[in-house]
Amino acid sequence: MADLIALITIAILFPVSVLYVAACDRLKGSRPKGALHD
Amino acid sequence: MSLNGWLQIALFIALILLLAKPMGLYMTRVFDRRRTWLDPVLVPCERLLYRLTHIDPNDDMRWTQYAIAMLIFTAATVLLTYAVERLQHLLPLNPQHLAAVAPDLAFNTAISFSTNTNWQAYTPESTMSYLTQMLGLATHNFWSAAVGLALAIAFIRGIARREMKTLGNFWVDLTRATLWILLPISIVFAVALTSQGVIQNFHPYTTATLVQPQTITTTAADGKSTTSTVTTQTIAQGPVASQEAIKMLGTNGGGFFNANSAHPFENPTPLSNFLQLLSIFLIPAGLTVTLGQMVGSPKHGWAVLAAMTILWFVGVFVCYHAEAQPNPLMHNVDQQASLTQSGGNMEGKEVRFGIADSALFATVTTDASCGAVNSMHDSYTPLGGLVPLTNILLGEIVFGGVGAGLYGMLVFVIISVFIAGLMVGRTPEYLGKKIEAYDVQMAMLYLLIFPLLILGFAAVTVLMPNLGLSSLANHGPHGLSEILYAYASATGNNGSAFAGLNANTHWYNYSLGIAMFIGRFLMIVPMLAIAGNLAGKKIVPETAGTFPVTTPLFTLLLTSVIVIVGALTFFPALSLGPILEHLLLHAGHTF
Repeated sequence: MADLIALITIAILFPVSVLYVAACDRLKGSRPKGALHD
Repeated sequence: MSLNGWLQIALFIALILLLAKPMGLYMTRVFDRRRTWLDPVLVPCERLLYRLTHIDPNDDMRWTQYAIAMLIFTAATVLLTYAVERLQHLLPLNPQHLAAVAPDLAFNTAISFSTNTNWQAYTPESTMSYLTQMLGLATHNFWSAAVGLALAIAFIRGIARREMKTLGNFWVDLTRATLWILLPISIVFAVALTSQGVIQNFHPYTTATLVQPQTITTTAADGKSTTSTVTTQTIAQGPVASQEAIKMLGTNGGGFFNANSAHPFENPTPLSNFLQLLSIFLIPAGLTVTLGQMVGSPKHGWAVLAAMTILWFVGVFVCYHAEAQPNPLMHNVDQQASLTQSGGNMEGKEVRFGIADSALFATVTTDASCGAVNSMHDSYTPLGGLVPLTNILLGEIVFGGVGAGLYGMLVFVIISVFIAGLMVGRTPEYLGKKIEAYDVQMAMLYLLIFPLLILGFAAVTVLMPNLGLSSLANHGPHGLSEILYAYASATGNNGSAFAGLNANTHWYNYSLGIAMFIGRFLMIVPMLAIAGNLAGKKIVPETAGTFPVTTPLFTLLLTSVIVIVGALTFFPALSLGPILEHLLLHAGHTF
């Protein structure tokens, strides 16, 4: 049971990190490109 | 403070500054895949590895591919370490017949070593077999450091490249960092350490008969006292030198023994101590030169190195000064330094190192994300202990961990040029690249995750008497410092402990494990996102209004931004911990 908890925690952390990569990548497309101000 | 102490500190930083250039130039050649003198031996090994793993070394990756490759690699190594820990009682090289590591501790340790933290919630010599130490932990010392190096190089490429979508190949960077940089230096360093008396063997632990048997009285929970006489002592053995070298060079810090670099088998002499100090800063200092070379602005690398050196000096001065002061509560004791005693606060310090080398070690190990210790930080004066804690809370960017220090510092550089741009009302530029909204968003994400984790977990922990506070050995502000230090050390991937906190509980093992994981990978992702975005940009010509990043003014601005961000974020917590403890100490209270 204790092994299961540890392995499930690992199994959650890594896929969530991959989703986080995708989210950060999508964030770039969510705003118009360009300088902050000129 | 003594002249002898300051001369050792001056010699240390002089050697680091001297070694930075050759080390940086060598690393530039390695990652640019130019010829080096190790190529005849290592290139065939490299080719064989790529052939076996079906990796095309010329296949460049976008930042997302680079990040996912890094995550896949780490997930595989975490599972390997977890399995080795859980099965160590069935595996060879376990002469002490140590039992399997408990699941929550195995989880914590696997995450700890894969994130370059090396937080140890266990006593190594009574928990980990030789095989676990080598296959489960020492391998991670190489891999996690190589991952950090690869990421720093990817960030530098992001700055250096123009209108490209890629940052290099993660597998190639990982392989070259391990084969060309970490392995050769570690081998030479391990031999040097054995010359000083660091042990390297597979012997069962030695049982020695005490010349003077010790009578020990212990009191059980029911108040019943038991007296026993101890006539023997168990002396732990093991393959220490091979692990010690990469432990320091890779800024990992996980000790083979519980006492870490205070143990005479890990760090026997003042010379071994000095070599260990040098090895912590060697690669981080060299990377600033690599930065300057790869982006075509060597002066920028030196400006970043100057900012690191200034922050290092402030830390070591405050720490050494605080530890050299007499304890105000010991009125009738001679605490002055003399030929026969160190003076000052020697509690928790090794006599063979003294105050200067202990304060220097504590500063260096927390400037970098190393976490090895040669003295017990919990025994430092409140202001002396404030320095290592503050170093970690600044993000360990003062030289910093292998790779992690440089990319952390470069995020601060982005914020600094952004602020400089705001001050003069121009679009911020960094080495010819416009800093846009997305870059600043990612930089802020990087900076905000860090305090959110540390302060959030520390706040939850102090609110839970049964799970959090019951592990404390000290209460009051010192207890708060112990909890704050634990979460700072985990999130910052440092790994040193303030001690006084039993962290081998379900709550601490899981919460610190998650803090280590998020503190490493969820900060790496926005950093790589910035690198990927920078790589795709055009270079805009420098004008009279461009803020130069090669001048003393830039160094001053960068230093100020780091201090202000750190001070604004953590000062309230620090004022309730070590600062309050300092004031109460002088009012006659201890904790």
